[in-house]
Amino acid sequence: MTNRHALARLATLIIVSAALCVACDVDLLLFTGAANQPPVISAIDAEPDTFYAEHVTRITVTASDPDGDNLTYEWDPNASWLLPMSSAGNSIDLTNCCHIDAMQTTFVHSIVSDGRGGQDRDSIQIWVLPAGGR
Amino acid sequence: MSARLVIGFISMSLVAGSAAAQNCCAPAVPQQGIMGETIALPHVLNAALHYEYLRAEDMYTGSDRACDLTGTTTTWKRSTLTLAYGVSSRIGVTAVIPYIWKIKTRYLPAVDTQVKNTTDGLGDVSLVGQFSVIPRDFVTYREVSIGLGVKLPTGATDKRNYGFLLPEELQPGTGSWDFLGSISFYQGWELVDIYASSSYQVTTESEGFKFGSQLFYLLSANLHVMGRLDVSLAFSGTVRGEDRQDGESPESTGRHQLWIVPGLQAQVIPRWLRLQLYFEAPVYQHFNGTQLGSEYNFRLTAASSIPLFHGEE
Repeated sequence: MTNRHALARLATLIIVSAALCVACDVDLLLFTGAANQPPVISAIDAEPDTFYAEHVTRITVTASDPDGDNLTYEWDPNASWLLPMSSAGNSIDLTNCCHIDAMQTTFVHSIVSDGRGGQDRDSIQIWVLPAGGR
Repeated sequence: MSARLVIGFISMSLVAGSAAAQNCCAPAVPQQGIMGETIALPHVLNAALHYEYLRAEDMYTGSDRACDLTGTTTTWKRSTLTLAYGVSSRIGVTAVIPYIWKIKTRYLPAVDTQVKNTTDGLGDVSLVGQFSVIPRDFVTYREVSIGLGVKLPTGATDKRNYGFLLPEELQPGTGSWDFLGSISFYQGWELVDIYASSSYQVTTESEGFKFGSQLFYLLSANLHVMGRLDVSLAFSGTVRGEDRQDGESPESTGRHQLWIVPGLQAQVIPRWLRLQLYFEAPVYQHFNGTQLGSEYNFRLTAASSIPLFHGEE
C-alpha cells in the first residue's frame, strides 16, 4: 500500500514537472517569439581565386537569414600572409602582406552572424603567385 | 679583471631585453636596456616610462637591398612601463608592461591603391626575476647578474581590420608563453660606465604559430660629460630564428640585425627624474629570404627612483 502511494506521488510529480516545463517553454516562446534561425550561406566566391602578389582578390559571400536579421561578416585566414584592404558588407578585398617567393595557397573562412547567436561558416581556397609571374 | 670580463661578453655577443611579435614583414623591435643596467637598490622602486618609435622600410634579400615597388613601411609605436624593485642587494624583480600601436602601409602599383592596417592594445607583459652574482657596491661599482623571466600572453591576438583577422605580425600580443634567461655585467668608473648583457628568449607555440626564438646582445658605454648629463654609445643586436606555422617554416623569417645606438641621458630633477633619448640606426642586417628591414628607431624614457622604505639601507 505504501509502495503504491509512493509510486502515485512519483507519477504525479513527474506529470506536474512535465506540465511546468511545457508551460515554461510556451511562455518562453510567447515572450521571445519563434526560436532564432541561423543565417544560411548559399555561395562563397573569390574573384580571382588565383592572384599575383601586390594585386587584389575579392571574396564575396552570399547569405540570407530566415528571420530577416541584419547579418555581420567576419573573415579568418588559415595563413599569415594575407592583409585586408577594404570591405563592403558581404565582400572583402585582400592582398598579400609580405614578399612572396613561390606560389602559396590558403583557405579563407567566412563567418556570417545574425547577432542573436546564429552563425553559418564556409570557406574558399585562394592562391597567390609571385609578382610578375615568376 | 673587468677588462677580461668585458671582452668575454663582447665575444659572446650576447643582451638583456624583451621581445615583441613580428614575422616576415615586421620591423625588429629592440627593447634592449629598458630593464635598467643594474638591479634596483634594496627597497627602491625604479619606475620608467618608455616611448619607442620603430620604423621599417626597404626590402632586403639576405644582406642586400631588394627592389620593392610597393614601398612597404611599418611603424610600430610602443609605450612601455617598467617597474623594477630591489628586494635585497642581490635580488630584484621587474615587470615590463607594453602598450603597442602598429601601422602598416603598402602601395599596390598595379591597382594604384594604398593599403593601411592598424591595431593597438596591451602587449605581452614580462615578469623577470634577477639575481646578482656579484652585487654592486660603492667600492668596485661592479655587478654581475643573471635573470629568469616569463612573457605572459596578455596581448590580444584576435584584432581585426574590416572584420578580417590580422596576421600575427600586426597583433599586439603573441598568444604564447615565452621564457627568457639573461646575464649582464656592469662596471662603473668615475667618468665611464660600461654595460654588457645578453638574453635568450625561448618562444612557444600558440594556435599553431610559433615566433622564432631570439638572442639579444648589447654592449654600451656611458660617458659622464657634465654633472647631470651623460652621453652613451651602444651596439644592440638581435638574432631571431625562423617562425613556425603548423610545424612548417613560413617563407622569409629569421634574421640578424645590429644597431648602433647613440644616446643622451639627463638627470633633470636630482634623484627624481631622469630623461633618456636613444636613436637606433641599423649597421648590419641579414635576413632569410626577402624581408622588410629596419630604417631607424628612437626611444624616449622618463625614469624615476622611488624609495619605498626609509630604513638604514
